[in-house]
Order: sequence, then C-alpha cells, then structure tokens
Amino acid sequence: MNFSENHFFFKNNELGHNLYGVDYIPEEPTGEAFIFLQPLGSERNVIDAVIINLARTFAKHGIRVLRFDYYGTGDSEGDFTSITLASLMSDIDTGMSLFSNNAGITSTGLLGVRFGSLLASHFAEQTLNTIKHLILCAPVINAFDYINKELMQALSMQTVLFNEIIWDRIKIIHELLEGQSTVVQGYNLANLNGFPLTKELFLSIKDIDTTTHRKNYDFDCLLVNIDTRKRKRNKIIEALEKKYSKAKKVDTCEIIEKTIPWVHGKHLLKTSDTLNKTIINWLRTNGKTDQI
Amino acid sequence: MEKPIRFRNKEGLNLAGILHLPDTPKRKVGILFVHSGVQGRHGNTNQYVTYAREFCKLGFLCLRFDPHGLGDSEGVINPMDMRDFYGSIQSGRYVVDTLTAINEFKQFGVEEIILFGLCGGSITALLTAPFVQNLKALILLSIPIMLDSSKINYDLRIPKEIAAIHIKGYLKKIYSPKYWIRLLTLKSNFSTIFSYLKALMSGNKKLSKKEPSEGVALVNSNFFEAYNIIKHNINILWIFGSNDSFWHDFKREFINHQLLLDKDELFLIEDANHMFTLTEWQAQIIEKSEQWLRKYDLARN
Repeated sequence: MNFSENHFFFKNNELGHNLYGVDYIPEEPTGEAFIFLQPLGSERNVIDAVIINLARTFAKHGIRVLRFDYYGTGDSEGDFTSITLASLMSDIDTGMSLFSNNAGITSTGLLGVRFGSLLASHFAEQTLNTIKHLILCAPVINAFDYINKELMQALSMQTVLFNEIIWDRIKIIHELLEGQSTVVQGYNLANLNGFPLTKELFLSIKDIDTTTHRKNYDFDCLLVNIDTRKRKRNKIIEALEKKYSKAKKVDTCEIIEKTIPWVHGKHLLKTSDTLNKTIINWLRTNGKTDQI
Repeated sequence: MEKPIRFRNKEGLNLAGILHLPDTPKRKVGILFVHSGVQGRHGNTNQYVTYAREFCKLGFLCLRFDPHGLGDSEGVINPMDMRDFYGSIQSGRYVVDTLTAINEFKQFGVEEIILFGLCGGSITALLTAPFVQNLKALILLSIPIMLDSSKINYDLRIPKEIAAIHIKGYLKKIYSPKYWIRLLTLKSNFSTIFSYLKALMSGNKKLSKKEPSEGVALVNSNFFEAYNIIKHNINILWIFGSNDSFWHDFKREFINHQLLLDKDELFLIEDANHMFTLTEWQAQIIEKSEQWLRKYDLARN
C-alpha cells in the first residue's frame, strides 16, 4: 500500500516553540494512528533509520504515524540544555492533539523506543484511557539508572582528557544539584555522551520509574526486547509485564539482531525487518507476535 | 528561518533536508553539510544543527541533507559490516547525492558553494569537489585518508601515538585489583592489548596504496585523485582532534609528505576525539571556521 510523507514544523502553543515532525500518511487509511517517541541523546541519531523504516511499514499497512523531534533535539527548536520533563510531556501532548483533532483518525497509540518508551509510559500514566495501544521497544524504565549509565561515557572521556577520573558520577551529580559549575579544566563533565545534562532536566526526570504504579489500563500493551542473543530472562520486560498486568492485554516479544541498533557498533543496522514484521503482526492478529 | 525540503536523486529516491535561510544574506554563498559518516544531516551529538544555525547568523544559506538510506531520506541500506559501509563512502557512495543536493541548493539562489563535512562526510565532500562548479571552499573535519574494508588487517594501521595512549592507560591500571582479576580470569581483551603492543614496538609503517587485497592496510587513492584535481583552486580548512587516529594517519600520509599547501590551513584541536563529541570542541570549530571564512571575505563582518 502506498503512502506519502509530510515533513513539517508545527508549533507547541503551550510553550511557544516549533517542533520538526514527519507525518506518514497512508493512501488507504484504517483510521488507526500512532505517535512514535524517539530516544534521547546519541541513541536518537544512531537508531533513527530503524524507527523511520518502522514508521514507513506502519503507513504501508494503513496506519498513520507522526514521528517528531522533542524541543531541543534533532531539527526542532532549542538545544539540549532547554529540555525538561515538562517540555517533553507538552511536546507529546501537542503531537497527540494533531491527531485527536483529525476526524479521519479513530484510535491513537503510542510507540516509544528506549528513553521514548519511558516517556510513553509516563505520558500514558498521566492521561489514562486516551490511547488504544502502547508499544515499548527496548524500554528504559528508570530515568536515574539511565542517566547513571550514560554518565559512564563522561568518566571514560575523563581518562582520555586527564589520564584519570577526576570526578566520579556521585561528584558530578552532587555539583550539578548544588548549582555549582561542572566545568573542570575547560570541560563540562556533566554530559550524556556529549549532550549537556542540566540540573533542571535531571531534577525533573530523576524519580521516574515507570514500573512503580499499577492501574487498570484501557489499552493493549506490547513489550519488545531487542538483543543480540536470546536470554533466559529480562528483568525490565518482566517488571513492565507486571505493571501492565491489568491492561486490556499485555504481550511480550524478543527481537534478535546482529547488533544493538541504538549503539554505534561493528555492524550497520538501518532497518530491522524482524521488528517491523513482529509489531505489525501483533497489531493485525490481535496479539500474535510470531513473524509473518 | 528553517524549512524542510525534499528532492529526488538520480535513482528517483526522495532525499530530505533542512534549509537554513538567513534574515539578511550577505552574498549568495551557501554551506552544504555533507552527512556525517553513518549519521545524516544532524551530525554526531546534533552538531551540524548547531553549526548551521551559527553560520546562518553570519549570512550563509545552509543546507543539511540526508543521502539515500540515512535519516529521513528514502532508500534502504541492508545490514552490513560497518567497515565495508565506510569503505563504500570512501569510494564515493554519496557523491551523486551530494551533487543532487548542490543542484537543489542552487534553486534557492545559491551561486557559490562551501562544502562542510565530518568523517565520512568530509571524504564525500572532497570526492565531490572536482565536479562542483563555483565551489569556494572546503571545511573538512576528521577526514579519513585510509580505506576501510572488512578484509583489511586493522592492526597494521594502528598509529604508534594512539597505541601509546592505550598502553599508558593499561599501565595505569596495573595496581588495580579489578584489572588483575579481569586479566587472570581471561576477561581482558588480549588481542587488543597485543595489537597495541605490536603497534607501539614496530612503529608507524609505510602503508600500501595498491588495490584492495586480503590483509593489506590501504591508503585511499580516491582521496589523492580528487585532491590533486582541486588543490590549487579551492581553499581548504582541515580540522582534526589530537586524540583521533585519523589525525595520525593524515599526518603520516599527507603532512609528512609536505602535501599541505600554504594557502590552506590546518587546525588541530587539542585532546579532541574523532567525532568532536564535546560542546567545548564544537565551539572551537565554530570559532575557527568563522575566522577562516572571514579571512576569505566569505562571512559577514
């Protein structure tokens, strides 16, 4: 099935900034629509083509998709230092309203990848029962753990710059929270693999753990683990499975690829047929995750 | 003002880009950002967006675009070994798309072109340069002078200086119990350690420029063919980070052969890595580029 793409800027009226988005418009729409929530930081650029190919697969199956850059990321206005949880949530809300005001759209779902899945869960928690599907790919569940891992890069950068680790992660976070400068010998040590971490962003997201609450959710949920080999168990997927046990439906699946698609590695992965087919199959067959 | 655009390449695929239009353009000079290795129009850590917005303030029209298969552009790249993908870029994979983008850029009133690229983007810019009319300058960051391939023995091209940095790092850990536990439980990456030791002891070798063959570390002949055509007519700003192995390759194969011309400039950013990950390094790139563009009266004062 054919589809067209509209690349455009749209305004977040609440905060007054412009966001870049791509609207994937099927020629024969089914009435279903999805908002795709991308990862943050370096992961966004490494995995972008995989997400874009997934959006195109959705459109080929009649599902409309909006994929956009949050304020301070990609082609949207602002830079990384402008981001807070409030701006992220407001941007998702703006994206949702583009579809909710469209008469041809009968249901909306959220699909989040990596940090985008944390945002999708958090948004769904705040706005219960407005979505029909929640799909979380390679999910991040705890914002503090995520930041802590990303700060590892800042530590290895220190060994290159100074031949030793001058500030560990506790010291970096402490100085950031105290409002002190995190610049040492001309370098800002509070950065997530090159993206500057601000006190505002850290404070606004640090307590988010998407597995803590459990409610009756009126949507179907698919949890997608992406890995390079099969593992006996995945604690993140298990925790999310428990959290969404009271959703209308919760399914899990595992995608095995030669490389982790959000990490720059030895293999180039710009599209994942397995991921595309598995998710479409789940949507089309009421919960089967076997590939077509 | 920033505006998304789409245009077709020779294969009929739609390429996506963002045009940056200055409020008061000084001259009809445009800067084209030529992808960034495996990443498209944003560059690593979104740095192309930052550069384009800064250069736009100087009066330049800027265009950032994704070649086919990257970012928002159409086309699918099948999974492959990253080194083979790099090798294909170094052999001109994106030259035709870049020429298409230049033609599109001219539709917006651009008459003179500056090409700006990092890593794979810089080699694409250099390889495209001989085919571009009204090319004013090249700003080339972290350009690869070697040819990548999964068939090449990379141990043969570890620069001695880079090996020394890594060995120094291992030696620093020698009093760490964790290091010894990793070593004794065979968790350390011995082949990497031995490669660095070998590179350190044998020093920098003269590398082959022959056709690709098993195990040979190649200097990219495409680099020299393109460079020899444009070297007297086009001004070039070469930028490297001192911690980038590509800098040591460039020094060995280009600088040490007295190939750097007086009219061109080399800017080395102390401690910077290959992708200029940190904003402090990116600030230096902006400052230097602006200064250099003013020198040739290309930027607004």
